[in-house]
Amino acid sequence: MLNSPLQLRLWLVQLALLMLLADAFVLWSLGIYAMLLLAKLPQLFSPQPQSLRPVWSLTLSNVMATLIVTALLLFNLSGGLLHLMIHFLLLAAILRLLGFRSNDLADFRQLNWVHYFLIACCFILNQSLAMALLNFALLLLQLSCHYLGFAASNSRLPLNHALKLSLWFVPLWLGLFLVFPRLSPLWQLPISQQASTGLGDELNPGSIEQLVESDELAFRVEFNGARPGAAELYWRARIYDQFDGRSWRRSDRAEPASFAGLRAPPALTLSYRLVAEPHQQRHLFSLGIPLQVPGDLRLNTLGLLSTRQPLSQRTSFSLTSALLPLPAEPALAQYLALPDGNPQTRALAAKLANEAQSPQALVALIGQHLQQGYRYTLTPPLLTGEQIDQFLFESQAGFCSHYASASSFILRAAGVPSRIVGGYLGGEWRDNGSYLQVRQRDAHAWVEYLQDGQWRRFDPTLMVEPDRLHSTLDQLLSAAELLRLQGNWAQRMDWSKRLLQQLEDLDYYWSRWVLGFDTDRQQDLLTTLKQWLQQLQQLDWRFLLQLLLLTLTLPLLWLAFHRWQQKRRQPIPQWLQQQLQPFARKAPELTMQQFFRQLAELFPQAKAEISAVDDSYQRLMFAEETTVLPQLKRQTKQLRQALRRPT
Amino acid sequence: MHTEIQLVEQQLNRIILGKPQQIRLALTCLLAEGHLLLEDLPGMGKTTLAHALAESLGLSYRRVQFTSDLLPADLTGFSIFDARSQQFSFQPGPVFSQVLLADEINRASPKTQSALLEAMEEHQVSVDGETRPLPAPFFVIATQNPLFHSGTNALPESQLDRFLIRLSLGFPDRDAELQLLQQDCSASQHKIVPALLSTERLIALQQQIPKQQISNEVLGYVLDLIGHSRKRSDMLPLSPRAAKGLVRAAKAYAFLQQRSFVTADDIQAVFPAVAEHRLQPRQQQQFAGLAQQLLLETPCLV
Repeated sequence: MLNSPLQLRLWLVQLALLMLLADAFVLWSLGIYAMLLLAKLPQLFSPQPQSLRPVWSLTLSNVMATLIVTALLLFNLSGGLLHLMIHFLLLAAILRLLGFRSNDLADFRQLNWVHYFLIACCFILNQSLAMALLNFALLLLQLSCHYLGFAASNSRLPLNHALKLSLWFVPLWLGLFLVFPRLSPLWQLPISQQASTGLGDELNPGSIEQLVESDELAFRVEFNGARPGAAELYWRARIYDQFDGRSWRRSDRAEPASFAGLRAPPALTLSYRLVAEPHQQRHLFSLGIPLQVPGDLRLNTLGLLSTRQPLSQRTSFSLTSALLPLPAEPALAQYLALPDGNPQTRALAAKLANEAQSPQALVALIGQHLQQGYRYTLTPPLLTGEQIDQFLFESQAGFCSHYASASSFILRAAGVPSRIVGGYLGGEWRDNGSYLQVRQRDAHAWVEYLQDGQWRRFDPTLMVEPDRLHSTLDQLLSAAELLRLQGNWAQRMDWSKRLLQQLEDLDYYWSRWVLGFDTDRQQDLLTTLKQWLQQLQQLDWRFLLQLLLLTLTLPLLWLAFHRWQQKRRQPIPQWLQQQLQPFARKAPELTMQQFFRQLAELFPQAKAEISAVDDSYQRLMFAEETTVLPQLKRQTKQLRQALRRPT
Repeated sequence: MHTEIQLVEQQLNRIILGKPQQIRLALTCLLAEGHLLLEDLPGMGKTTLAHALAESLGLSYRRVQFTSDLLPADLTGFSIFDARSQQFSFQPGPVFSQVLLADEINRASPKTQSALLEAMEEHQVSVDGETRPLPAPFFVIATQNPLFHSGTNALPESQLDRFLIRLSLGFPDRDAELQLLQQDCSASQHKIVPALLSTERLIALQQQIPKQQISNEVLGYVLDLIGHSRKRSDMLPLSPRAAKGLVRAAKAYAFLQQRSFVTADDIQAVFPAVAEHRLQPRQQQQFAGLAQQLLLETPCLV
């Protein structure tokens, strides 16, 4: 029963769990857990059956558990409550297997359910398609353990039967997926303190360059209706409005706002569905002004979206945006504040401000200035001292953050309120343009300046490198720079690239249709169904329904009758064999009584019940006392219960 | 229920050591009013069994050593002229006993064999144109030596068919043989076996056998077994007589186990003893276990 094949499988489940949950672990705890798993290994492959005694005594297990838990509490508390709990659970499971007493069903029962729980935990950490498939395989393995642990020792899993049964359950399962209410979680998952990715709270010269080196997915978007042009794909994520001479920071002064009353011409309205990857931060991404936002998101006066909790799971949102300039908020002084320094730039700003009549003209002049001798590069020289001066008048080479920073400085120095927007530009159209995939390497920074009470977009990078809008970054960079990136972007063979792209597409649709199937979509589906039914109502739908019911019921009734007939005509020995089939199978040449004796040898605990059934069977079949039948049926039921009892 | 027959069985088990199944089958044969063919090497206890069986059941017992010059009259008896009464008077042969042990039956001439076999089937003998009935329980235990065939006349199939059951006692196991040797030292050569049953009682018991209950399902299994033997080309088909014998033997076997009905187990228990000599009369070693093969190949539904 709880023999070595079962223990091997349980061990494999734990190994797989450790791998799938590796994200929650730090290197040293991963190492310790792997060692603990290895400690079980020699026993699993030793040929002596008596070696199935516990590897570790209870005392040793307890001491180890105390040590490891203490170590975890001391050194890994920063990992967050969730990760700590996963550590504890897996530790308990591994130690339980090490101290596994093969005759104790209680041990196995605990282990079994803890394994199921851990498998579910894998989903908290990662929801991708690949993970779902791996998890499913793991679940199957655990189910086989479950079976091995509880089933009678000599019984074999009727695989055909199981497969057939699972096929029956597919429609039910699909139906439940579609109609089961999506409850909002009753509790909040403890926030894991994983390193956040994407744009941070601070924009340095250089922070975007770091981001661009990553090939990681940021989010994916599917547009309903028309696709926007390339010049509109400015995904706003962050606003940086405080400059300290070195880096730009974000002030936390944004008030909640709603732009739902805004009237936008339909041509400038976009509705889209965004699937964001977990980045452990709150900010989201949007185009222009978000008009309609889901209830669980917040929108502020800056036109930025954020979630209530840091995004720790892949999540999808339906949004509507208007491609209009954002109306200005009342207090604007902060957008003019500048630290001292950078005299040369201030002089330039004064000169340009004299020439320009309006902020728009000033922006055009800045653009003209930037077109003279500036270079777009991922590896600009290091700036020291008066950074803006140094960049504008000495190095004249930089990445988008340099240009945005300098432009915003000039605008502020010239008295025009301005700020830097951090976000993503463009993206890659995938699957024949059905969705847009935005990676970290599409990170971008640009400037917004105030004119006529509205924030207008100015992207100084385009002045230097106009092609940035329409081409991907790799086409713009020099060979040397490309080489530097390619280490991270993983230059791949053509076919594997294609395969990878297809897998990414698949993963996207998984998120879109399975993970993203939320209450809204459910409502949509029900509404569609209702509409369809209403259309039917115009026909004589009652009649149709009756017809449908009749055509469905009649074959079912016939089938039920047929089965009942079959069952009634089934000879007693066959019926009895069918009842006992999960426990043992009668060889065809054996008489039923020999089969009973065989059963009694296999299940000594059920001897009394077997002999009772044997007795009734003889009276019914051989002495032809038909009145014994109900008694035989009752005794058979008792026998089945007895056979399930552990020895 | 039938304690006397149980007592007989126990007594026989005390005499023939370590062979309970063979003893039960021998008793089965007797209760089923069939004749028994023992196939064994000399000295395996055939005679002891036959003797003990007869004595326990209170039957008269005769033993005839069959030789090639044995005449039918030596068996059936003959009429001699009594000078005093001026009449022929009939001297009954050994066949006029209740249990006849026919030792090495295959040594006799076919004529003698067939005289015995006629007596077995008809329960009567015809001597000098006069038909004389045999005593009421009439039970023949014939033996033959399975190894040495020179100078023998093998029984033809038709005559083998007359024996309900063929048995082979075989060597006793070590414990039984040890006990046997110990007894040999202490007891006299011929034990006195008390009769536990009267002839009338035995006949009454025999008459109960056909009344044993057998369900259609079990009969179906019998028909399956018989039918299967008829489909095979490497064995002789089983005759309806064999089928009848099988059912009768199974009934007696069930009776011996104090049951009033026949189970499939009973069929399986008696089948090799009833069928084997009918399936392979030539006793060639490569055909051994044909009945067992049939049992393995025929699915049992009850």
